[in-house]
Amino acid sequence: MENLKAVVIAIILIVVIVLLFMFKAEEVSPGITDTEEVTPGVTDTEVLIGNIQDLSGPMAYLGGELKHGAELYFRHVNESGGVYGRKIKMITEDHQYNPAMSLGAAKKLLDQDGVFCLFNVIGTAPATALFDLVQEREIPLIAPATNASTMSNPFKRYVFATDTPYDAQGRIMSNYIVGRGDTDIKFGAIYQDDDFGKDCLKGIREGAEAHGIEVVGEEPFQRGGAPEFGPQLTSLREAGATHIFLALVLETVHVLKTAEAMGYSPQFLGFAPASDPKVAQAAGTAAEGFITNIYMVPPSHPTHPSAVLYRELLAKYDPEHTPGFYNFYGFAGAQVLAEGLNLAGEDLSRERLVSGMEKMKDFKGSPHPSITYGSIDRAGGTETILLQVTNGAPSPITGFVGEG
Amino acid sequence: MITEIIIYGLSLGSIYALVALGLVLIFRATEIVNFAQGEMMMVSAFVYFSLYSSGMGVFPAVVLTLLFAVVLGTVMNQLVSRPLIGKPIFASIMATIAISILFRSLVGIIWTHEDLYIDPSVSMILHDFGWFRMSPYQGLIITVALAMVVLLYLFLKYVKLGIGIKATAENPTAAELVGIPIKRVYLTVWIIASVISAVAGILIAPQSGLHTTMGTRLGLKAMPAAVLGGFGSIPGAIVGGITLGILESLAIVYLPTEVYDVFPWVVLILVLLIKPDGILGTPEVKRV
Repeated sequence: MENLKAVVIAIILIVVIVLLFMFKAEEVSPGITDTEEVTPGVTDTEVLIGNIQDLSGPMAYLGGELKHGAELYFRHVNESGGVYGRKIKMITEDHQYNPAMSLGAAKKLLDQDGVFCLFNVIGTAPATALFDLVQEREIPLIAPATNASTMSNPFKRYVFATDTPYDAQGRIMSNYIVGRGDTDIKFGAIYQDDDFGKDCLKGIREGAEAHGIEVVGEEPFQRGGAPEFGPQLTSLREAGATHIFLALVLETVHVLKTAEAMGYSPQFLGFAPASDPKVAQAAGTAAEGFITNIYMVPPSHPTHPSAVLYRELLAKYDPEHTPGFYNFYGFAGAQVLAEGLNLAGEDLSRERLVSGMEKMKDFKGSPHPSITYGSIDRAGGTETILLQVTNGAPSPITGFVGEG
Repeated sequence: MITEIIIYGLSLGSIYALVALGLVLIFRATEIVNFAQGEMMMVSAFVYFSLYSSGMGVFPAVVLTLLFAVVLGTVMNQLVSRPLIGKPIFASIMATIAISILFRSLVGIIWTHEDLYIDPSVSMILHDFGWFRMSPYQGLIITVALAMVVLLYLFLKYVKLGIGIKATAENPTAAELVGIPIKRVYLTVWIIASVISAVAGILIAPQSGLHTTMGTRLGLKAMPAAVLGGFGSIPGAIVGGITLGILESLAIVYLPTEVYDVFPWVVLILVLLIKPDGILGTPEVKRV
């Protein structure tokens, strides 16, 4: 009898809880639907945007820099009168580089803060976690902070990528190698065993295939695996690799140093994350000749209008802050979003932001290569600048080059 | 080529062995499974990095880092080990996991969450010795690891406190009854484990780079190394660590890329199936 009583009470409790949730869900749902009359986050004087960064996880340093850079540009826009009189206000949430937390942060920004759109979510996995949400609820996600090709391919109506994707970077570097006249080429690759590495690997394979080059070895590396690249390099050397692509981030340094120690000197090529001058600096003589690429002009560019404006604004608003690539990267994304808001017109809605972004053709107001979107084109940049390490620092060997 | 691969494995395995040695030593004496062993190594590596970068030279930096490791071992003994002795093993696992997370965060706050690099003080260039190629750096790692093992062996065999450690490991109550100062034994064990980890950290840092997660990577490999050798056996930790390092290196080269990462674990499972107490472990008999 005692048991029966407990069961009955438990059932009643569960029913009450379920009813409460249903009631609450019903109460919330009208607010979610985006009606033409009321666009969330938009008033006559303000547009509220949601930013999701890694502020306390493994990429916390980058997250903070991106946020700071974006705020710098928005402050400039706001002090120049805003976009159609609306000041851009950015709310930032922390996802700690965790896809589940990224989704939670997006829901919080949309449901509690009522933001107009999402902007600059850092990382491939955390940005990918939002695809279903933005599609279902028709929320524009502008300038996700990743070079992953999956941002724009396959096409997603509400996601606008800015960066030249990793696979294109691989193909462009392959073209360059063949174009400069290297012969008897055999590709090898050491890649990080995740979305980033596989995206790069796709580009390497496609680049090789386009020129009839054999890929003689593909060696995965797991962050968290053995901190030793000797065996991988020995294996690639035995296979006769002449050009080795490194789809790695900071581990690039260890590979270059290990190869130097082995007396093995193929042409090494790296992707955008390895273009950080710190990599060349840390690898010292082992990095000489290392080719990488970068999908936007560096903040130190002497004449590019974006770089000049960035340095001016930093000196004006925050002279203490050291200029840096990722700071400038946040700034770059903000320039694209501001242009999109401008093209969307005065009567702002989420759908009008989408059509405003689609109107962007050959936009050169950000440090990216010219950005063009279309009704089914969400790729943004498609070109990249090749760099080669000489005397310990990566310096440009081409201007923006595309696949054509 | 195969000898070159084996030497890569040997130097990597020596590092696994050192971390595993600390793990086993603590477990034998205190029955605490220290999941923060890799993190203790990481903290010491960062301390060494700062000292070395200040330009004081290698030798003073190493000595000061080892002194730091003594302090770290003492603190771990007082704050973590003491309250946990005699408690269920789960308590010690949870507590040391918590400590490992704490260490990673603290190092991130004090230093950085980014990778740091440190120059090796000896050359990493491979030299040809006829039938094998090896760098002075690899030679140093293997020699130092070997020296640590020999020193530890002599200490446990001939020094009174060392014999006390073995006695405490066998039977703490009996050891206490015959007058062995078991509190001092526990303290010594933690200090030795901390110093061994610090040595491993100083050795591996030029190759792995410094990162808050470097200890997790190595610590997680030291666990199977210890199990492979028979958890609780000191020579077993050495054999297990080196075996794991060599297997890992060979697997990278000779196995298809899809399977090489799981290969050492498959070997681990096989060893445990055939000999559940590890390669050098002795079966534990519980009297009822």
